[in-house]
Amino acid sequence: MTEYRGGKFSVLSSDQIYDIHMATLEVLEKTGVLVKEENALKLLGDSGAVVDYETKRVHISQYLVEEAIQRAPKSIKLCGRDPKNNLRVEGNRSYFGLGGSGIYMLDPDTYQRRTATLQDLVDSTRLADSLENIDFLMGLIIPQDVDQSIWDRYSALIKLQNTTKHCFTGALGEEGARDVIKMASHVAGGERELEKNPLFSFILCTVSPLTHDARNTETAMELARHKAPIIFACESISGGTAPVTLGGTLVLQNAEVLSANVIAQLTNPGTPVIYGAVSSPMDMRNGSIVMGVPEVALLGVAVTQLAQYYGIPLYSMAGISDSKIPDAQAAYEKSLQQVLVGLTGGNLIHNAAGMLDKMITGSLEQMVIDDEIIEMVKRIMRGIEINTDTLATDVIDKVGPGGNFLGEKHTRKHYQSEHDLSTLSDRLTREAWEKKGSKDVVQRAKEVVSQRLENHTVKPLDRDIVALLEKMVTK
Amino acid sequence: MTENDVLFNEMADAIEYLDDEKSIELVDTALKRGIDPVDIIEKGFTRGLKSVGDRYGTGEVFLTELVAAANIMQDISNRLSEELSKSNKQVEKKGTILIGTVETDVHSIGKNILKSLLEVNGFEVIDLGEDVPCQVFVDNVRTRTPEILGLSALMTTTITEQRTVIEALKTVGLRDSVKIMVGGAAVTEEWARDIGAEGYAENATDAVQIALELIGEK
Repeated sequence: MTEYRGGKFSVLSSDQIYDIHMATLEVLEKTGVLVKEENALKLLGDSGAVVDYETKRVHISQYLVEEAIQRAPKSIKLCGRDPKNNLRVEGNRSYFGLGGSGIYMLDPDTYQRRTATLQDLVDSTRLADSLENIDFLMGLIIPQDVDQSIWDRYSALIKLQNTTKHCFTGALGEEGARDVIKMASHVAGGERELEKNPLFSFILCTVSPLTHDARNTETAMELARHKAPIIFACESISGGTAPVTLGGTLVLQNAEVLSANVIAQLTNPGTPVIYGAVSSPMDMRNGSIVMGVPEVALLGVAVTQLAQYYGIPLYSMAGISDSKIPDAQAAYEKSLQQVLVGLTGGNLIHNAAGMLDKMITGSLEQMVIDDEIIEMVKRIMRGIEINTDTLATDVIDKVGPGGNFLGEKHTRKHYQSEHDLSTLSDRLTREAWEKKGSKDVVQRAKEVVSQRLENHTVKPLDRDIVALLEKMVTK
Repeated sequence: MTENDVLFNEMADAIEYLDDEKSIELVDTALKRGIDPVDIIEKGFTRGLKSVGDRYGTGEVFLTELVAAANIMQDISNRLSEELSKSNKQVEKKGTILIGTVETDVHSIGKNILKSLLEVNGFEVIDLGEDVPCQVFVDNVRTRTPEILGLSALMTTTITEQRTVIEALKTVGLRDSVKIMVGGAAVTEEWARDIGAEGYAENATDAVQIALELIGEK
């Protein structure tokens, strides 16, 4: 897999990052967090945090927070069923992945939305598996036609069967976590193997402001005991559940994620924790959350810098839109975020493909368009290579004034890596475009979707393993 | 204009311009003058509060102002609670609405926005909070006899609780005593119809209109 690195863009100075860090420590010590899980409270109390067992308020001092940061692995290997899809999540290496957990799918012909089904999860997972620029997946949608108390297990089954790339997944409580881990270990060849080569990362959300609810905390502790990669995602709403200022939002997010990390590292030192921060502003006109806004890009860049400061692998987001359909608004909102967060080097840039309408609605056509945006962003991230060969003085000398470079070996050697050659965007002349049916990008994306779904094959799982997995969702 | 009318105007202005200290000061001044607490609310502050609501409707002010105004009104009511209980008049309310986020769902902000907006529009709101067990909804419908029950659920995994509450009310014979509104990010009009709720709104502003319709004000 080609490496893509950030480190080319920033919005915070190192002094500003330090200020955010110190403000976070102040919040954790002075204000504290609410932890609604008894075992976690006890663990924190026994480890030196100041715990009020009645109100469940926990004040965490600086040394505990920083010790936990030290205990968190600085590099995490996330694996796919096929080792060529493994990710090395560290520093400013960037990977782009699906967005997800929507509840609707968009009909590309009518632009109406309909309730998402298990079949949509199968199709979207297979399509994402086939797209070259999508490095990891999460479930595009939560299937609404299955028993909602075990959708996590259905989702795990579909992902294990339909992609060989790494997947983020959900787990409903301690039992859900145990089951999903068990399912993945069947595929990985045992729990030990799974720990070494994790096929799933688990997303757990904090509740803003400053609350760790009982179920997610219980799930986190169970996952930590298995050393499974945990993404602690803060999804605060700037102006609503977080301060309206972006600086304050960064502090609040940081306090939530770092305190979740304390719980995980106290439960099992060395638990692979992924810093997740995906906040967005509230629209003060109607109270709804807004996502395709420039502030989301700014927060995405800033949080990447913060995670890099701690050396903790990051789960961020870019490529989300408030638009309901794959239109110009969707394209500009997505591109703006993707390019900035990509250039900064967010490690696991999720929500980068497949979603519209504030992450509620999935769209296969949008996923194909997003794949194209990511391809272009990756090209920009590769930057311009400067060395004797690329500076090309020899070939300039050879062609000389008045000639052309078309037939040169140097051109043949480099054109594929130097120039983006994607096929979805229309770069034809007007006449040629008309001859091909004057199709817009959504129509072309639709054709790609049907070609891929028809032709793409995913390496199947062993039949015995499938039987084992299926048993776990029908039990 | 009488001296009291001047004071009432000052009250309306104070809340309209979100001056919390001035508002409380004016309450104290009015009480010293022996003005009836119900008049303090109805002739004074309610007008200013309504004006904030109207300006929110036209896009002149935003949610943060709206919530701040509702909070000031709450402070004023708290300050007056003792006097209000002694007064022989009653503050006129459009209706009583009981709201809460259903069990296993901890989200509050949407519900809280609606609460503010309903208060600004003259409803009495009883807020049961978040993660409210079904039985608590049922008990409160019985004891506090609201005109409307509002059930909030943000997640696709928790909206089913809305149905549970509605079914529980049917079982104990209370379903017809109250109109039910459902809302929250995952709730759709179709879902509301499915579970037999009378009202659904996509956002807080629409929800107020629906609430007004349900109590026959519009």
